[in-house]
Amino acid sequence: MNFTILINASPLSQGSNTAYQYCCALIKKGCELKSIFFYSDGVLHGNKFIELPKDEWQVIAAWQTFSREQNIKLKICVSAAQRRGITEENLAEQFEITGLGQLMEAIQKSDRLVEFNE
Amino acid sequence: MKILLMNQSSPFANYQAQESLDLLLMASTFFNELSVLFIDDGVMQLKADQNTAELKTKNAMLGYKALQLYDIKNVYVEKESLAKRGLTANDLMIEIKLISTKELSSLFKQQDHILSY
Repeated sequence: MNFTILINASPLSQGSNTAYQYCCALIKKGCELKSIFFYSDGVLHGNKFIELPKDEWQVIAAWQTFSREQNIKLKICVSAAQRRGITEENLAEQFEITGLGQLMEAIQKSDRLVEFNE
Repeated sequence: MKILLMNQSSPFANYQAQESLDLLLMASTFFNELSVLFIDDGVMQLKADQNTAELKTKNAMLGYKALQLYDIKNVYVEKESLAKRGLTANDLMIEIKLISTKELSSLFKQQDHILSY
């Protein structure tokens, strides 16, 4: 079964942690992850200047490692990104700025769309 | 592919409602069996005659008036959400289909994917 994951939750919220763990579980189960898309406050994951306290779970680094290991780009919606100050200049590694059209194409090809809002 | 976009957010507190509308319009160019549902505070997005000038915010909800241009015909509003807010279908800026809480599960069952804002 193949999945598209849509993350609206900011990297500072529990939704991001849950989404990450969900994605890891999907891979373990042998499901195919077609696309990981960040929209709304989720685009904040792409800000390379975010520094979480060292004694906390480094959620963005975890996403980046996941992306590298699974060879899945982390896509960010350009219009949501512009509003929140995420540009090519401060874009974190493994993230890619694209448009909502790519999300739509991914949904067209997916059996399941799972959304994480907060 | 049947897609439902569910709107629960109030219109002007943050960008949720506006970003949901952006997503809906993009979805309409990829999917032709699109439905949109307004429920809870989301029904306020369609309330007519909202003047947002004093809020210093654009009334992006006016974009819903163009739904017909995008060929989006399945626009549902939950009856009970309107009633709780002292509203009726006549208070809304567009023609919609009323749906009751108990009919929601059958609407959801028809869908391939559901998004919610």
